[in-house]
Amino acid sequence: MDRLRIERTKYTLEIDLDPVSGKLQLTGESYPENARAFFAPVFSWLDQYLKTNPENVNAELSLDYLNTSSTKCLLDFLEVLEKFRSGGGTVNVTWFYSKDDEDTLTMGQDIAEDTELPIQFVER
Amino acid sequence: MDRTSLYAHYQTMGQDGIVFMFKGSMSQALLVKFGDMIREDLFTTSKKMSEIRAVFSVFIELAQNINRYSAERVEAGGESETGSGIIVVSESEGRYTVASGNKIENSRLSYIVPRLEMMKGLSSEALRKLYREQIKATAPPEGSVGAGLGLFDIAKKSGGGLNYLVHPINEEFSFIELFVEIRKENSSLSQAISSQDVIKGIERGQTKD
Repeated sequence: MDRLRIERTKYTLEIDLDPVSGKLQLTGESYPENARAFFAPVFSWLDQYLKTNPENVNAELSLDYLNTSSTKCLLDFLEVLEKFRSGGGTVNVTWFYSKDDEDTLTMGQDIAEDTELPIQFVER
Repeated sequence: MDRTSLYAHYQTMGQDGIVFMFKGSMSQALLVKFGDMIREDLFTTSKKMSEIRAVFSVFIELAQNINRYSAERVEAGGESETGSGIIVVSESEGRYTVASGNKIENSRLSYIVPRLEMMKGLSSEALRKLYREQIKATAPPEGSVGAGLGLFDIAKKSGGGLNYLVHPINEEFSFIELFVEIRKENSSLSQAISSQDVIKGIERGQTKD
């Protein structure tokens, strides 16, 4: 299975999904016109990848501003991982935040409250 | 427009503390550029990243709102279309205001207004809770997150400072204005003043004397 890499733009995330190490990285800001379209290849990659029953999945999220539709896509992304976890898989999430960005930290904390996924908060 | 009215515009914009104003077709490429401009501009006057983030994010939501939902559509080449409207960022002593206006179908208005009314007078905490419930509940249609969800986000970010006005045009259309206030940190009572700042203030006061 191929690694999926999408370069970062001013308003779309850097995506780096590595099936060998199990590291799934989402980095940057996201406010495209159509977030669903941007995330579509990410979701199809993730579906394929989780079917291979990976041993260790580590999502590393280092996010800044996300518009509402991108936030919704992120929640869906985590929901897919949560389903995999509840089915017996091992998933760890690391949520990177900057000290002066309360919004991103709060968003992560809200998500952590609503999910069974283990989320570790790390100041970057 | 004649020359005297341009001067009048200039003066009014100054009096209203307008830092950014645009009327026209709000394409994604333009709003990205405007967002950058606003961020850079605010950074020269305010070093409070949280304020700049709040103004920026409200600007992007409102601009994308115009792009998606304005009833005034402009062909943008190929099959794509852009919505037209007006968007203004202004600054006064205690707050920033981001305001947007666009033409809207009355049928859509009847969907949005009850939501805006519902959010009126809610506390920041209640708005945050509401947003979380809404975003979980929304199953987005293709290409959109579902109407109205952006408004919950805006209301949450402004901590309740979301107001609106509707100007009826005819049976089919109205013009909707949204006003979002973002309080500046130093004017917020909940914001504790650090002892460092107090000491600096005292020192400054003393040297003046």
